[in-house]
Amino acid sequence: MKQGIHLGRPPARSKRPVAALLVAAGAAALALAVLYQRARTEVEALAEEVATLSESLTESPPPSPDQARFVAARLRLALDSGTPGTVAPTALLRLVESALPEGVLLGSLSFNASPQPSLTLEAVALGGDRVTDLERRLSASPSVSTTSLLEERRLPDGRLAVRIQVGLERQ
Amino acid sequence: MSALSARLVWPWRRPRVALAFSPHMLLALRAENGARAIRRDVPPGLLVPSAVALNIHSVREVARLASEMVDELSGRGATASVLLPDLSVVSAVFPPSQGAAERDLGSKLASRFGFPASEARSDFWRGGKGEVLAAAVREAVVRQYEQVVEAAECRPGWIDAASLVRIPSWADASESDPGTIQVAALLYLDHYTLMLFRGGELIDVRTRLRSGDDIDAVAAEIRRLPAIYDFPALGAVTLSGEGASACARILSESRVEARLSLENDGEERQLEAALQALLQRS
Repeated sequence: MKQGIHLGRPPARSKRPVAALLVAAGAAALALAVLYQRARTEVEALAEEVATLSESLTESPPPSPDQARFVAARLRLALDSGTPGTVAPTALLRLVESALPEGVLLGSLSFNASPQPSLTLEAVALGGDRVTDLERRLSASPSVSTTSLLEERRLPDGRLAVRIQVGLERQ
Repeated sequence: MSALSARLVWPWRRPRVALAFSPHMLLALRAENGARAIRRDVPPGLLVPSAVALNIHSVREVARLASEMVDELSGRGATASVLLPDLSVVSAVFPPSQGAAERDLGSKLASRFGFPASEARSDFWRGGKGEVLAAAVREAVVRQYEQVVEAAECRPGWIDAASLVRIPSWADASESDPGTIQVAALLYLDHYTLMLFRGGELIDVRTRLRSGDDIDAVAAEIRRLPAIYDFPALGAVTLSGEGASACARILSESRVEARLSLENDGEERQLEAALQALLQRS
C-alpha cells in the first residue's frame, strides 16, 4: 500500500528501463560497428590482394580475336612475301601460345624474315624461373632452332620484362 | 533501524530533511537527529496559501530562510520532503463503492479545481477499506515550493499537505474501534481541517477557513457532522492545535456525547507532528 499522497514530480526511476534499453542498444550498435569494420578490413585486404594479382596477370590485356587476326594477317603477309618454306602463321601463334608458362604475359610479337626467319617476343614474367621455363618450352619445339634472351630488365613492381628472339627452322 | 545503523548500511544515502510551509512560519526537521524542529517566522504577506494563485510573493526571500534552516541542520544535498499548506491543495475522498480507476477519479476530482485540469499534479491514496483520498495541486503553485527546496541545495522528496500527511496513520488507529465515528480536528491559525473515520475507513476530509476568534464556528461545524453524514452520533472527537481547549469546552457545554480528547499545543506543534509523520515514510 502507498504510504501517502505524493504531489512531487513523477519518480525518476521510471526512466531507468528506457536508459537501460538505450545503453543496450548503444552496446549492440558498437558491437555491430566493430564486427562490420573487421569484416570490411578483411574484404579490403582481399580486394587489394586480388587487385595486385589481377594487375600482375593482366598488365596488358590478352589480344582480342581481332588483334589475333591482325597479327596472323601480318605474319601471313610477311611469310608470303618471299620466304617460302617457313612455318605457317597459325602454327607460330600456336607455338607461342603453348610455350607461354603461367605467370608470363606476352606483350608483343614480331616476325623477322631475314636474314634468318625468327620471332621476337616481348613479355613480362613474375620471376626469372618463368623466363627460363619459357625459353625451355620454346626450345623444345621442333620448329625452333635457337632462343636468345636479348634483354631482361626489372620493372618498378618487381617483375621482369624480357625480349627473346626465337630462331625458326626452315621447313 | 536506528539512524546510526542506517548510515552504516547505506553510507551513500542522502540525509533526509522535511520542510513545512505555513503563512506564519517555516519549520524544518532532519530525520537522523530526532531533535525538535527549527523555525523561522514568515513576514506577513510573503506566503499566502491558495490552490489557484501563486502562493509565494518572493521565492528568493523564502529560499533564503529555507537555506538558513537547511544549513543549521547540516542538510545541504539532502532529500527534502515538503508539507504544503492545506489550502494550497485540493482534496476529495471517494468511498469504496466508487473505487474506480484513478483516471476516472481524477476527472471527478477535476470538477473541484479552480484552474484547468491540465495544470494539475494529482495523486491518490487508497485506504484499507477501498476508499480513495485524492489530492491535487496546481503545477505553478507546487513549482514555487520546489524552487525553494532546490535553492536550498536539496532535492525534493515527498510532497504532501500538512493535514493529509497524517491520514494513513489515523486511519490505522481508528480500525481498533470499528463501530465508532471518530473525528480528528486540526486547528490552525487560518484554517481548520476535520477528518472523519469509521473503523479504519476514511469518510471525509473538510478544510475550512478561520477568521479571528471563531472557535464557536468550528464547534458548530463539528456538531453538524452527524446531520451532514447521516450518522446517529459522533463517537470520539480529537482536537488539536490553536484553540483546541476552548473548542472542547464549547462542545462539552453543548452536550455532545462524544469522547473528547485534546492537545492544545498550537500550530507549530501541529506542523512538527506532521513533519515527523512525513519523515517516517521511506
